Amino acid sequence: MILEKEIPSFYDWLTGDWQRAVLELIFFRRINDNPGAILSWLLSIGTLLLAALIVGFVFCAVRYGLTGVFVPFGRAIRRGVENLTNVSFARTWAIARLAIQESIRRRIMILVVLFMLILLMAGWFLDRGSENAAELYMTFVMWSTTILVLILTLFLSSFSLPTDFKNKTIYSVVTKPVRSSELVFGRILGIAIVGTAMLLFMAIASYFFVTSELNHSHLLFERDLTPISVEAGEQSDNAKRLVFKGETQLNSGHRHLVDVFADGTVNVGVVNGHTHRITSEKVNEQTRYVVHNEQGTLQARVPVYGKLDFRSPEGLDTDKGINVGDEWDYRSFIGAGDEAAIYRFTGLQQSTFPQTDGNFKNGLPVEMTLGVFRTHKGNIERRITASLSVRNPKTGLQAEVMTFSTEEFVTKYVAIPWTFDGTPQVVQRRGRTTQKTPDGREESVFYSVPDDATASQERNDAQFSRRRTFDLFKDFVTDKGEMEIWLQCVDRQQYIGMARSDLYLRAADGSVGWNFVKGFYGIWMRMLMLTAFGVLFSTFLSGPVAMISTVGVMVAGFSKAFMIEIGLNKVLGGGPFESLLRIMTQQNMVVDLPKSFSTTFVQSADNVYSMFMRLLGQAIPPLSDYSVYDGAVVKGFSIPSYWLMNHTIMTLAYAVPLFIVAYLILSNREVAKS
Amino acid sequence: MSELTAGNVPEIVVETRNLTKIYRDFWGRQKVRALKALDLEIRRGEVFGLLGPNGSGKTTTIKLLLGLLFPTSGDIFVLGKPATDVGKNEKIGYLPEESYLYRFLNAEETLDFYGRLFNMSGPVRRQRIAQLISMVGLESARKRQLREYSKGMSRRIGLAQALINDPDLVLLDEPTSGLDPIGTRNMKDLILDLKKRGKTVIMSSHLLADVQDVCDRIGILYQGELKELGRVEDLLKVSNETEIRASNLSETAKNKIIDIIKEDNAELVFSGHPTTTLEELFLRIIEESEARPGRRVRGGNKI
Ligand SMILES: Nc1ncnc2c1ncn2[C@@H]1O[C@H](COP(=O)(O)OP(=O)(O)OP(=O)(O)O)[C@@H](O)[C@H]1O
Ligand SMILES: [Mg+2]
Repeated sequence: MILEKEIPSFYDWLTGDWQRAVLELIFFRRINDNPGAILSWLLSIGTLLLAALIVGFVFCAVRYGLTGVFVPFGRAIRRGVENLTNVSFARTWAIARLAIQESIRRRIMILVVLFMLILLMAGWFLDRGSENAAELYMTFVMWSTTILVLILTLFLSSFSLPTDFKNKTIYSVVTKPVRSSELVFGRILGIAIVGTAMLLFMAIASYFFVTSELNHSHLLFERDLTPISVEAGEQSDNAKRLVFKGETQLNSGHRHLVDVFADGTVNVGVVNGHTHRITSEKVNEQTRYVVHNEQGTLQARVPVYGKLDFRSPEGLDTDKGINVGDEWDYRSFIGAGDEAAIYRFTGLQQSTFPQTDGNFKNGLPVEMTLGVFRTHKGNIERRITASLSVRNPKTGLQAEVMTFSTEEFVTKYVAIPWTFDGTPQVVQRRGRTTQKTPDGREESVFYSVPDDATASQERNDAQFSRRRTFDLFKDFVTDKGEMEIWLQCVDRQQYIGMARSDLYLRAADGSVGWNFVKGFYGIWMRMLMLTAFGVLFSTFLSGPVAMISTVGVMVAGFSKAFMIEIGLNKVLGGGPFESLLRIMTQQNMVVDLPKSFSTTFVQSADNVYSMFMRLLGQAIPPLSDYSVYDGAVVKGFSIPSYWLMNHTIMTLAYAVPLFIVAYLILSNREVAKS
Repeated sequence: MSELTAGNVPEIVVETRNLTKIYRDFWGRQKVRALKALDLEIRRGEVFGLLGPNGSGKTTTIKLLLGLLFPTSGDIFVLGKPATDVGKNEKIGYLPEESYLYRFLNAEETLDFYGRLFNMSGPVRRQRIAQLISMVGLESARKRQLREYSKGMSRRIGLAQALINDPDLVLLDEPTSGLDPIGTRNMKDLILDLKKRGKTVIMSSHLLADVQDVCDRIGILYQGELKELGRVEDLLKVSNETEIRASNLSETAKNKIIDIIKEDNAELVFSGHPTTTLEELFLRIIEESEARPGRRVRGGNKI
């Protein structure tokens, strides 16, 4: 799975580097990119409030004159507060119920039929024999559900209140003791319930659709198998003796290789990521084989990621490998020689990978998907050879586990045996890092891990260049559960590329059904976000305009990552204030401005300005962040629970302020106007 | 129905001071002065009629009282609270000038929905719904969606909706419009019944006969200004004129009476079938207002 942005753990995400950000704020510096969710939320809310106050003030001043500004202001606040008192759940529920009744009466059930038709069509057109059928089917259901549910809630949320205003049904409602907070919350609740019910239906239908479509079995007859003659020296009554070899009948565009053993057990080959269990029974001297349903098409892999560093050709640590000119700098490349990609894992425990479990009986499972870059054409089909070693980060002990060949973007599965033979080496990691001196300056220092003394000690202990048997956990995993996996390219003039999420250890798989539920929860959160925006806009805009605005927010939200990148890139010549100074003092864009008070002043002003814009930009929901849910389900990865926590809180962090703004607007809206 | 519920209702149910409403467009430019400096005081138990030609500001007044519109200037107190306070709605019933109800609900569901907005418990709600539906005569249409209702039926369910909370103050905007004669009669009876039970009713209308039949006091609006205000009897009593009504009067007897009037040196003002005198008052006020715009009359004094 491609994870361009690392998803921080719950705590890191909430707090980030907030202390530094606060200092930067005080000194008008550019805020670092990781102020933590709480701080950036507070700052954004504050900024938006400030912006709203300024706009409101200017607006009122234009309308009522400078002296009269505070009267409507006070009145608006009073109305807002009035509307928060005496909130009743019964009334909120009455409003929600009405919204539900309305959508049912407006024939929302047509959507159910539509979705069934879509699945039916998909059943005809999607190729279940395709190599990545699971991905294909999952992508299809996730996308069609997302689109249908988002469109549904888009319409419901942006049209429900405006329709009330247009038909004036709102008159009979607001003349009852209903608070606008109840009105807004009831709407959101009702629409959310309708959307949730629809989503639930679609999820269940999708699940059964995907599993039943992908499920298949094969036929296997006696005539498909060729007997294997008894080899010399083999005992003919050995239960584990291979007696037949053959292939199943064709189904879903493929066959499986089968090996039948003397005791009747059957080994089935893996095709398109799945296999079948085959049992045999004797009926009237004839053997009948029963091929059971497929296993493993749908997965919920649980990856254990490490931290990726690189080793430069000079043997020093760097955080990037070679740039091979790929415009997408997601992967970094390494060539042959001393270069390496180093994945450092922490917190490894044997209990995560119990040897008794069948999945781990061959060793520690490692899965990787590597990029390949060739400097000379040759046989494109020819694979590239790479080696995989493990290293103990504390002692520096390293041993090569295997060399393997790889193709571009093919997911490779290997197991590092729990015990293996190899040649020990002691490898130090070296590099430069900055360090604070006692008097507060930063200086660059050279490091070496482990240090030379330890390394030579280890070298002595390791009885150099003699092959020996290693125990993976004993020899390479430190007491803190740290271990490194090194990838190196063996082929000269070829490069292999990797990103952090390209190599991971595989813990025991999660439940596919449960993962599917989590994936749909990702859609659900998007739906809620959209509903909150739709209802907000519908409190002061007409239906179509509210809908267009919501769509606008949605589009901005899906491209948010991209927009922020533009905002973060440092522009030549500085921000608006610095540019102004340059224009006035007639300096071009590339000269460094002299260190002076005015320079500091304009640069601080620019920082405040850019921070202001950045915080305003936070108002756009990061809808693109939720795409990891679809990605995980489609690619067959288990969704970790801390994602759910991060994103649930993020969703609420948007929905709650939106709700408050919506009710403030509604409580100050003159209902019978226009 | 419950007995007098005057309990904690203030003596002055509605009070407006210098109430002015100017409709503005999006840019804040003035469009219409719909109401000009209205001072009004309506007491508990009164049936108050707002009269005036089309576009005179009756609906605007009612919407202001309900907080549906915000005043441009002036103050409004309804049941002792500012008009924008939602809390006052607990004891208010409102029948809008047209049916503004959800057309996808049926009569029962409609009343159930509004009942829930008053936090009424299930059993109370059900009992009240049955009562109101039979009161407005919609038993046979209780399960039909409002989209299928005729105008008069919509009016009836609108009325039921306005009374769901057994309100102390009922605001009826043109209650009899769209109703058949029987419906009109029922509506008037209902208003009188509400009055008997100590409720306060404010109604607007341009159907003078209706107003005359049920209102204790009326205010006549013309182009947003209050032209006349007072008790109906006082307003209609023309002390220097006498009206005699009789039925089955023969032509000869009638001529005799006319002769007597002539003998008395009195002037015969009118002879024939009597017209509604409120209509006269109404037309006269409008006539005079047009002749001398801007003059205002207070407290039922003659112009
Ligand atoms: N939303 C509005 N925007 C602008 N002007 C309005 C609005 N509503 C009413 N008006 C104007 O205010 C004036 C008073 O209207 P109002 O509806 O109060 O009259 P009314 O007395 O109820 O008339 P009718 O007997 O026809 O119901 C009219 O001139 C009308 O055009
Ligand atoms: Mg009106």
